Amino acid sequence: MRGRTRIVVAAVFLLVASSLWAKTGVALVHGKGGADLANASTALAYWTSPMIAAVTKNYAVPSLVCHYDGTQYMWVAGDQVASQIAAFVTAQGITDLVIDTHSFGGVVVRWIFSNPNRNSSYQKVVSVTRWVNTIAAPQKGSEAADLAGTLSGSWLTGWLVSLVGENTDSTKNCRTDDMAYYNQYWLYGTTGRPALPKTFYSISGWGLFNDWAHAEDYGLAALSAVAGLPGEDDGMVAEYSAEAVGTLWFRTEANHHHNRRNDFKPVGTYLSYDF
Amino acid sequence: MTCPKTIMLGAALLVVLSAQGAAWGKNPVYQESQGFAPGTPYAAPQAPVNRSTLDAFLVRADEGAAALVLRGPAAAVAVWPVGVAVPEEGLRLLDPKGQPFRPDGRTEARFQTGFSSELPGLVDLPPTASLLKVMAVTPGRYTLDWSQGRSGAKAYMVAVQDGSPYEMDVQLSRMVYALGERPTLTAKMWDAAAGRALAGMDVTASIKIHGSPVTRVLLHDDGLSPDDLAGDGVYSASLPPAVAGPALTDVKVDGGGLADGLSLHRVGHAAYACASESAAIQEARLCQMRKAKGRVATLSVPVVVHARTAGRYRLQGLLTGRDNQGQEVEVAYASTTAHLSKGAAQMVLAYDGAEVARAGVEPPYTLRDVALLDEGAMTVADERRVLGTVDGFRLADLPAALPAGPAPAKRAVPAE
Repeated sequence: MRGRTRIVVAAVFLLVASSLWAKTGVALVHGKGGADLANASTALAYWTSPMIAAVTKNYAVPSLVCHYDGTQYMWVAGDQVASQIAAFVTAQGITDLVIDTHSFGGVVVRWIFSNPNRNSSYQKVVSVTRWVNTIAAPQKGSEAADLAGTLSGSWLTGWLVSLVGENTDSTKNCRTDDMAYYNQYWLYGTTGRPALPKTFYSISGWGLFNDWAHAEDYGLAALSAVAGLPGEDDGMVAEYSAEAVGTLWFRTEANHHHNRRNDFKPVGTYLSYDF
Repeated sequence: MTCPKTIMLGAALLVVLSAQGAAWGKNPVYQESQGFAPGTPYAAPQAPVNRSTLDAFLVRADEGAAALVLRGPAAAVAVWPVGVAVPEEGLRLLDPKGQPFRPDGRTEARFQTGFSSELPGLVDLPPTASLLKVMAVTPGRYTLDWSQGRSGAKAYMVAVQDGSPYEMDVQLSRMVYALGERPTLTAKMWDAAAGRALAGMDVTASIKIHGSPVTRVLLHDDGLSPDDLAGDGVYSASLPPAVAGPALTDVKVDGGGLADGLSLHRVGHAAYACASESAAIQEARLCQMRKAKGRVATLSVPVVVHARTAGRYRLQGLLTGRDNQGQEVEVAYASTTAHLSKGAAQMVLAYDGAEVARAGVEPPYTLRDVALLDEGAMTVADERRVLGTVDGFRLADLPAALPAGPAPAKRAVPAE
């Protein structure tokens, strides 16, 4: 009898101790892009080392940089991301996870949290997550993706289609028409739809030319000027879209390319305040 | 589907137990119920309006130049070379007299150009765009000249904001159509500043249906169905019958003609889904109430569905009611997800009484926007705008409303 009591006491102690000693981790989920984003090294390059170091407090916080094929629909990407995160939290014993996303990565993660019963990986990710920070997520779509779709892909014939390279499922997923449909039928978190099971914090961008020596900024400024992005935007995603889901955490002047880095504004440092 | 006052407790328990029993077996049934905050207005789903002030086109490089109409006073022109990884350095804008455009009369307007040495494919559009933003534009026909181009591009994508208030609003009648149904498309062309319709335009829709070449359809403003009123600037057409496919069907709309003596061109877009009909909603049965401690713990709406294709399906539906001001508001959402074999099956939307109570709205409730989603094919299999009424109890019969979840923590905002 005494031995049995000891076992019960030990079990209770372990239970209490495990809750007191929650192990925190962070997962970073990139946006859309090429198929090579399925490679870990390409995904690392997407975020850049300074950004990852900043978010993780110089790698003190266990981290996972998710890597998925950046050309796919959110549910294909979601399966890959959920599987990686579930494996990460299991292997590391993570019990308190923060997920940081950039651009389409925010839509991919919202897909996971809108479908928590899709499989055991999804359930694991949802249950272990403290909250999600989405940087410039096109939650209501991106007029820039509309423009890409209008100019490329379906409307061209022959050799032009392959040259433009923007006729991908992920670009289509990000169009405003498509996101209106997904928000109505498949995703949670927008006005009038069920709430997400965990809190989403949004970060929206409003700057364009962050760095005159940084040539990508010209491309973003061009997009912003012609794509018809309503209100303020970061060159790719308008703020109304980035803020359509969750609670606005902060706005940043960093544009769409710089807000996944820690250069023009210390966005990674801000994210590290979670730890 | 009105609930009788007599509580069908036995039947409800059977439903719940069968669902739970399935959950313990190999075929889990997932059920979800969420209430809405008081005063959450209901908005019927509708296809988005694409408001376009954009002219965009693609032109072959061997043409050497392309005509642009700029109306001003501010305008922007962006150019992407196609098929090369470098920007086009040799772009020029010529004024209506064919001379290099000098907005201030002295300095030639220059395209700003950059290119990225970063990993290709990471960005959302080629970062090789060239941009020209100009102020104080005199309305006229300008020329984009790339005869001195050095990029080696085979074509250029050109996007123009001409600076005028001329807009085209494109909208489909719905987001999802039944198989074989003909979607109705409208495009309103108007001067947004003056509120004036642009009549006499040519408006064309291009539809890319899965696996087929592009189909073009003319839109009309003649007052004949599906167009409502002749000459109101709203152009309409019935599109080809919807075909089920793995993705939404894209529609591109080109509207153009003469406005103020200058050619006008606008591009817009829309997209719709086609119900796969892999399963169908057949009927909703009597709402069943399960009581606990004298309160209505659960409102269950059994829905009979018929699966033509076995697979995993989700049934979701919204309860709405009327608040004290008579406004339709959202009350609660429920969904159930299960693997269905071929044939008839029953899926149960189970609304938690304490969740339903949160909105603080007296019954009757309308069961709206019921959709059966095929999670394997990622399509809407079937949907009903209204499936019935839930009634037969009072708000006071429900348990105390569950408190809303904790408000998101207020976090320190970084100062930039």
